[in-house]
Amino acid sequence: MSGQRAPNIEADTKLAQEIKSLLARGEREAAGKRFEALVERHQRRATRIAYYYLRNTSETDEVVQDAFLKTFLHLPSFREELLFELWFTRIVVNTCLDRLKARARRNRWLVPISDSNYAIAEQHQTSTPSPEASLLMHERHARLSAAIAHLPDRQRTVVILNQFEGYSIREVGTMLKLQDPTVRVHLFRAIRTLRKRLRRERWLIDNRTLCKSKARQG
Amino acid sequence: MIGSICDAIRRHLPFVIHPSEQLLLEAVLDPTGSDACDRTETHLVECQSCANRFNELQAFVDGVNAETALSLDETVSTVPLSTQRERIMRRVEIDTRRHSARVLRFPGGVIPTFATVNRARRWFIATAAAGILVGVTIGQLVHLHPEPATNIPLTVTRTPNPGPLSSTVTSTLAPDEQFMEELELALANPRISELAALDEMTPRIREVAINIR
Repeated sequence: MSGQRAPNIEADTKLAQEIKSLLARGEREAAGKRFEALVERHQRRATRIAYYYLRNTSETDEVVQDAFLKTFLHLPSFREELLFELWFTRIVVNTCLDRLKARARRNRWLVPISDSNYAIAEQHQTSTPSPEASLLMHERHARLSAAIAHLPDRQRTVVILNQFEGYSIREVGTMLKLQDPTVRVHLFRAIRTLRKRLRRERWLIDNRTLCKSKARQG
Repeated sequence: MIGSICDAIRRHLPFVIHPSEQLLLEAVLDPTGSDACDRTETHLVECQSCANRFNELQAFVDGVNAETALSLDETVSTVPLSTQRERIMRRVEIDTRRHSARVLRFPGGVIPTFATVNRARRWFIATAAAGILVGVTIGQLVHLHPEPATNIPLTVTRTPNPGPLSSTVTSTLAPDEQFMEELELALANPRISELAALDEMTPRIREVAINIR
């Protein structure tokens, strides 16, 4: 975790403890009001994490709401030695995985929708203008997210938290209750799988050359 | 001693073989890792082909991260966070109210109340309840004040059969003994002729009792 986030983490943990003690005293209204500060601080991050998993804005919204409500309800069982951010992230991840399972169960009874159609549906959903460049970009994102979505749950979670959200391997281990070497193994396997899947993606090759030239210049 | 020498050699000697993809990935993803990472980095300075492989891996990881961040920023910016926050707080509030207020019954169909039950049925229920109540009360009273059975002289009156047996028999024996005797008397003079044969076949209680003794 970067140095800038550390003070916030401690402040959040203190606030969570305060809310916990308010709940213990039966002052639920006051606790609810204090909880809004936590929601405001972690909402964007939770939405990002949920969207990695679900790739659907309305479902993401629902899952984030559920995760915050669960957090509020389970705050009495929050342990002081755990950092609030890590604890909350674990709740978000678990809620996302539950939703994915529910979706898989539901989809057994529905006609499957292809990835490209899904991307187009998503595009309409966000109601953004659709010039050619935007469409291409959406396709790229759809392929990348499909590759990430095909990873096993553990690997995907590790990649999302470590690579995209910037948590250290130790923090990811704490969130997922895994040993550091296990997290590393999941991470390496995930990146290897992603490389295999995205080997033929032209835009990533361009990105690679761009990055390589930058590295050489550096 | 030997161990430390081996460690020193391992640390300072360059890779005889080029580092595997696993080691390169380790160096890319977790550069502050183990000794192996340091050795890989030392090797990368000397070996151009491995440096290229490393750069390629690094570029791939950076590319994926950048692309994902871009797509996410686009999407998350479309999610109305303030509306979402309002909804979350409303749900929290509902939960708070749920905990502080009484629980209402789930509205199902029309629940029959006492007022909706018709008049005749109501009377029937009330009468039955009163009957039960009176019965139970009387039962309790009788049970609470039982009359001592030994002090009451048992009177057996037989009206249809005149003669010595039809006379009033008063006994001060124990109730069981008296009952047995009464049975004996009844069986001694069967009034139904068809049952006389059956009566002959049945052993007398008194006889059985004497035999047992």
